[in-house]
Amino acid sequence: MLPEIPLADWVDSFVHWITIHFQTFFSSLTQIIETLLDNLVKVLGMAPSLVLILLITILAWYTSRWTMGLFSLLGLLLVDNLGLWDATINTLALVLASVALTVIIGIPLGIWASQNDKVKQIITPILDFMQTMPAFVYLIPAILFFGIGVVPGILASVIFAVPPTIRLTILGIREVPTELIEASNAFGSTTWQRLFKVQLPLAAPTILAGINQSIMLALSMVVIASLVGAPGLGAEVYRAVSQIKVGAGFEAGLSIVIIAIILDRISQNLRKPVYGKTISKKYVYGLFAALLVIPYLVTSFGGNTTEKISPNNVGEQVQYEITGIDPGAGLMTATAKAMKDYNLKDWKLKEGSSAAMTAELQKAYEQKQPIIVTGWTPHWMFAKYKLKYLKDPKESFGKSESIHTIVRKGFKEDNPNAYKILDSFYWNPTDMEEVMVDIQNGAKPEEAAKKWVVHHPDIVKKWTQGVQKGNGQKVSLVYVAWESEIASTNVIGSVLKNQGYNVTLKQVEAGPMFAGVANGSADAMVAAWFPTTHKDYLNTYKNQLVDLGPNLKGTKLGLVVPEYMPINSISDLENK
Amino acid sequence: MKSKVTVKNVTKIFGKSPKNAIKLLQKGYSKSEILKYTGATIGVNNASFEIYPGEIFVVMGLSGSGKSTLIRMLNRLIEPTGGQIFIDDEDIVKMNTQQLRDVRRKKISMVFQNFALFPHKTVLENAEYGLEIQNIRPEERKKRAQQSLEIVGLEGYENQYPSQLSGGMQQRVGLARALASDTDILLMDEAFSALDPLIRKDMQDELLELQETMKKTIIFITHDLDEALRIGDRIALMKDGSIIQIGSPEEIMINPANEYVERFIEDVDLSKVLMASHVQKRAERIMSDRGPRAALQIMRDQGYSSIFVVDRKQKLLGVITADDASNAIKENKTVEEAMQKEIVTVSEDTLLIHVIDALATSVLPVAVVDAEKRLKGVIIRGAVIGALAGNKENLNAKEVN
Repeated sequence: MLPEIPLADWVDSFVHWITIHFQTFFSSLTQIIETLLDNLVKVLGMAPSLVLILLITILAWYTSRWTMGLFSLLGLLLVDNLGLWDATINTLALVLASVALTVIIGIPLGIWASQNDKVKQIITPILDFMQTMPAFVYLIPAILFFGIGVVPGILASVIFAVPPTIRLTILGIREVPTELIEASNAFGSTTWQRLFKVQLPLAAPTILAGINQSIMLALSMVVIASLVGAPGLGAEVYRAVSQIKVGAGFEAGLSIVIIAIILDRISQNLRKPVYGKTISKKYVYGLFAALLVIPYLVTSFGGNTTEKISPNNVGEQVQYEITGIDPGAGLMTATAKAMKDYNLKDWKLKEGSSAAMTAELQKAYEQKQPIIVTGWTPHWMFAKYKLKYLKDPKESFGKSESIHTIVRKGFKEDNPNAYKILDSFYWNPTDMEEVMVDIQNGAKPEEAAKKWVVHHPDIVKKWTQGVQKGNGQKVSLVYVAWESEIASTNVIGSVLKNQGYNVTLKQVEAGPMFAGVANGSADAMVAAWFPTTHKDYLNTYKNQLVDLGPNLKGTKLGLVVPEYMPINSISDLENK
Repeated sequence: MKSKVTVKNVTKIFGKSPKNAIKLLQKGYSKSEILKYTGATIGVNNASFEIYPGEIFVVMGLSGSGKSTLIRMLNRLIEPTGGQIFIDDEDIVKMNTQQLRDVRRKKISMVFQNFALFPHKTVLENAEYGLEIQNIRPEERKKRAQQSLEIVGLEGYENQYPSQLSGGMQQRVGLARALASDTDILLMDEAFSALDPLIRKDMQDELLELQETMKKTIIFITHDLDEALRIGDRIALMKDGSIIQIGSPEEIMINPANEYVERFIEDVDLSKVLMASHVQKRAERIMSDRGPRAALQIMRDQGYSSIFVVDRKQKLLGVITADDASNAIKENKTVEEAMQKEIVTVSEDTLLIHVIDALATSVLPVAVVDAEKRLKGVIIRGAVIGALAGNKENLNAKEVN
């Protein structure tokens, strides 16, 4: 048999190499984009929301009939009324920045490829790759290169959104009739004259259609970008999904729809505004540009008025940021509480995901840079890196937690033997970490779980003692994609399989995990963290669940830092 | 005369292995064989000719004969695979980009089959394009563009867009754009083919009229033989990339180089191409001071029923029939007294279509005379009919060459 090609290892070491060697480049790029974006957000949010709403309304009116103007006005007022205005500005800024980059990168590339067959041959398969590769995949290296926050979001959006602009630029220029190109050449045009006097003006409608597509794609990326901590409406949607808040999700989703329609119509009609004959478009766009650019220049060169209050070393080193995980997690609520308790009001808690958090941690750790993350035990990161919890004298994170096994109502009656196994499932943090480290080192979760089951027959025996073997009955387990849960669910899944059950594992977000067991679409989970992390969900679904008690005790939540950091307690972060 | 454009052994091969194709070409393989063996298409095969200043040189051939490729090599819109092209003694094939651009700007301009007007520019902006890219001052170029629009009769349409004009007007804009650059050489690639027949004829007339004053060197491409015969000073006929015959319209009509040309010209309306000189026969004549008996004798010997009367300088005076001569003998008159003076004449370059008119109105033979009224020949009905039927024996081919 052929040995498995270590493609993943190659990619890993390649990305690792880039991360190290282009560190300065990446951080300055991050810095630049972040500053630009911050300023853009500031400019958009400078005046009361009504001013921007009116400006957008006028632009929509001017480009796409009065009905569109009316829709914009009502739609944006609704968004404002729902309290989503700040998120909307963040989303707008993210989309505008992505589109600006898309245009800056896409049009010159498109022009180049339109003039040169070789370039086109090289670029086309790359574009195919970019468009079909799931957008999530871009986020992984993006986190390593640019950390979490808005920058990887923008870059992922650009990668995702740039193909239509490039493709349609190539198409638009190439479909200029040959005779016109010949005519232009026959009179002695230079390449540039031909490009600017003939090809680009004729290709403009097609190129603008490409940009319109790119805007729409960039907008569709905002939700995905929120997984790595990009703020805005996408984060609202993500939060709503992970907490099963239908109403909030609908509000944020509707806001995205409204923004999408407005951006789509405006960008479609930008070239030939409906009222372009009444008022020359030069004046309207000129005025609009001035309204954006002047305040922008004022904000970016007007001196930094935001002064940091204290010369707190650690705070400044980490830019007053704590790197968090998914917004729905109880750990995030606890951290927010801790920030209040310890008076960390200038600090920011960055939302992202657990994968994004560990990627950030890895990056900082390799460079011996300061970082503060929200952490929990059991987690493989404690085995891999030298980390420590910050002391929590005010007990904001509560005392240690335990992980509970929960099954749906009626499961005991339907499948008493599987129920018995789940009920007696109990192990220790060290057992769990054994599995987690294996997975982290590259083993597949099922393999790692099988291996653990084989190596610990005595523990497994305790769970299955006196239980009749199953007969292919279905058992579906749900879990969240935390390393600890992946380990435990796979282990118990493996045990159930050995006992003759037909086990399916489903990976979901925390909210859907509880909802799934509560409504009976899943049978059980071994991943409920009580009393803190998943407190909200338990309160919501209390009556529809059966809590079988803890399967692991001695977990811990808190703020985690690498050991090389010279602080020991959360109170060290306070301003003095 | 010194030539304006000289094309020497120019070849164009499309496809991937032109070198193999050239080898096969030199061995005498045909276009379709070469396509089969190498995948390369012969665009133009070893074309050589000269074009003189001020002439309208027409390149004619069916679709796929390589004429568009040939014309595009003259300003290197298509790179020749081999050969030389001299314009005013400079080989443009050897020129670098900059030199070539200068030639295109100053020496050669082009008119296209489907007009190739820039749809986003107005008529005036289109007309001044050639000047715009030479970075000529706006007032200056506007003035020159305006002038050439006036030449083609489009004043007043400056601010229209091409889509607002008819086909004929659009092609005038194309012509004005080419004229505005004021180049010596004008390439016209099937310039009138996209127009309807009436407008096409108008444009041909107008081009001929313009040429009277402009005296440019025009290289005109067409697949329409009538058009070629109408406007061409000389015609080059192409087939499968090769030039088969070059000559004046009459030469091609009268002396087709091979069967292909013969077939090509088969359907042409000969009455519009052939002239009196092509069908005239030697005319029997008699001096005016001779007697009627002599006239009658000649007629009897030759089997004619009439004979022309000339003076000592061969100037045509009239015609005498056998009946006239018999009466004159009885009445004892001279030939000059007995002859008929009302006589229908045509000149040597009268087209056959007008000769037929003359034949129809006269019962007497029609005489061919030159500008001094000297007798050159006679038109015989049978010869005209034979010539129109394409029968070469009725043509005075040798006298033409």
